[in-house]
Amino acid sequence: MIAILSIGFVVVLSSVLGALSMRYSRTTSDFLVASRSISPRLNAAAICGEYLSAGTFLGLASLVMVFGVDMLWYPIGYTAGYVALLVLVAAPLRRFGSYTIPEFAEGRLESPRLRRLSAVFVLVIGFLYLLPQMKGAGITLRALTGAPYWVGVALVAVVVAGNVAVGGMRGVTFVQAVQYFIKVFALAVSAIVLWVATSRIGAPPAFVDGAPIVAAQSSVRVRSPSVLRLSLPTTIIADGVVDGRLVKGSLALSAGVHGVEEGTRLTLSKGTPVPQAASPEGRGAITNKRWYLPFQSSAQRDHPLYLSISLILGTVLGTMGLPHILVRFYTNPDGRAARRTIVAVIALLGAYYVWPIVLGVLGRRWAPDLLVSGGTDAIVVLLPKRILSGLGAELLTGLLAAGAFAAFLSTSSGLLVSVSGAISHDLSQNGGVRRFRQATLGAALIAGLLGLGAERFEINVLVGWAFAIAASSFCPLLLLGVWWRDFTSVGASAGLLVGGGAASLAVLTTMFGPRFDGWVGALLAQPAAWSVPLAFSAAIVGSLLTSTRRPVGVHSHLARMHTPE
Amino acid sequence: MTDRVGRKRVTVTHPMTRAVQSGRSDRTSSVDLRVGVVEVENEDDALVLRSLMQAQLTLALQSFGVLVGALSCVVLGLALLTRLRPSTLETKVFSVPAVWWLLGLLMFPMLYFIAQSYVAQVERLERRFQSLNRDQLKRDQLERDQKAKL
Repeated sequence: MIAILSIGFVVVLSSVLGALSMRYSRTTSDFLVASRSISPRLNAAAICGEYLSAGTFLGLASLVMVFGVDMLWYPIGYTAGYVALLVLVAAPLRRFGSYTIPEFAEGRLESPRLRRLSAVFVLVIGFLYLLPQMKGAGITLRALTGAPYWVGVALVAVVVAGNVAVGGMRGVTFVQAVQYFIKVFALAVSAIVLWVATSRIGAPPAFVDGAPIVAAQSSVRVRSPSVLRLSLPTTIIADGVVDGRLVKGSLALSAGVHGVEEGTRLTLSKGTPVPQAASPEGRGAITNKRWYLPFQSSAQRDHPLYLSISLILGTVLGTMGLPHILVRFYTNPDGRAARRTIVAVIALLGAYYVWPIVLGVLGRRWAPDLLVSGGTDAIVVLLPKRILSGLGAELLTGLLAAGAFAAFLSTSSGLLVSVSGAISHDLSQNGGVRRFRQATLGAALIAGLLGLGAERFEINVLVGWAFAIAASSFCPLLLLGVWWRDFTSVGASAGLLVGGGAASLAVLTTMFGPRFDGWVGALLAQPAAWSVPLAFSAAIVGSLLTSTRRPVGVHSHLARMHTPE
Repeated sequence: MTDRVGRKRVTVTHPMTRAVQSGRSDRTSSVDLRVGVVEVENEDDALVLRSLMQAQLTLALQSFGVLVGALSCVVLGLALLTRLRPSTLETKVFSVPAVWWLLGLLMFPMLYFIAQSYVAQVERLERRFQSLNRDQLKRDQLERDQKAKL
């Protein structure tokens, strides 16, 4: 009940703040970049509010819970991305003075066609990044109220579309600064309270032979046909189909792999080992030792070291290519302020990421039964009731639900502004405020529909893919555009098409294609390590081959970018 | 009265204003290093610009190198330990494995430190450029170019 009230509170607060700011949103410039009147501190909080999405609020804790220490590379990469952004492109981009990546592409390389091509990648990255936000909303609402998955998706799509269409960016800047604080507060308070509670009442019984064991009797319904792996023999109560046989009642399972059909209900008794969801060709359940040591959690794919390196590369270089983040520095008054904003952002991010990690660790201790269904993405909001009872649990759940919705709403708003801006100002001519609003509604509808199909993907994995594509498309465009005199629009297009195209194909294959193992699977699942160099090579070769087509005003562009105010 | 003959009011702050055309009215430098607002046509301006860009790029690459170096040290260090001395990774500090402290907590102050030190350096660099004599900059750059030829 409290949870529903607090979700309602966040939704209403966002809408009211958005509507209030409508009075100030008079011109298109107000809509897109808040007329550049935002102070660095407010802007840093807003950037964090926008950046910290469902991926880090829900997804990170879930990944840590399932896969362990290897997943800590996600927050490190997300933060290091800002360092790369800061030292390589931040001040020059702000000094250049364009509003969005497509506009930078057109201004710097003097090619309207390149602007449209960049806008296409804004859409690809924007929609891919919107999916996990929608999924987060769907599963959170379901976990808290039992509502069907689509209700949460629809709620977020409608609220965000309304906010953005009414207030534009000016509205969401204030809203997002507030939302950063809601998120940090919710996670930090919960993590501290639950950690202290755990040490007071004592953790659930220790793990047996490295396998997680059930903390309290619990019952799980398997949502899709799955393979479970047991490291120790056990007895469970099943109702449904296990290993191809209809079972109702007690069932002894040997150590090893067991197939379970959709709709089967499994009841696990206290103190027994937890069967963990594994891929059909799974390389075994993640025992606790493999969970807390680096480069071990290869239950899903081969070559964990490659996966970690590629993940870091994608997140570090992808941050600068995220369309909804870059537009934010244009709200700083000058290049120096943009830099100082980013330093503040890095501090705020560090203060945030500790908490989801703590919650993920607690989740593995208290709710290992969720490992059975693989449905761990909602662990953050489920955890308080696993550890506490009564009003305390209700209040914490409410707080976390509010934080989670703040995350979905803020990131989705920022993405929607960028996606709508790309549609109304880059892909079509003379888009005014009305065109922007139409684009917003259309984009929100598409994002909602795509979100309905996103349930089977892990939240943070989707986010990681959006980063990988951004790193393979916009990172070369921005880096070479800022620093290289001989960069041409042909080279830029080649980089976008080859690098961004290859990364997108790899991601699509992993999402919808057949399953590959070994090196092929690893290369497709984390493409950044090869697609970023590929993009740079294409951009450089393309530029060298067309050296006669260097932009006429290249010197003046470079001078503008590198001259201090 | 112009409205009557069919002229529409237009918003002045329209984002279709090409980046290229948007003037830098907010520049407040008192020093004559405002290459940004003039066309860089002559050799002199190009020279000053090259010198400035070179300094900025060197600093950017240095800081990025520090970032990459720090990250690779951690990744490769952990990978080596996993191969050679896996038992050291199980070392616990306050009952939490040391790896978790390193990756979950200590990396963030380190990243902050890299960012902070870059900003301090680049602001110093830009102040120096603004106070330096244009002629001096040109002479320096010419000298460097000459050395590069030799």
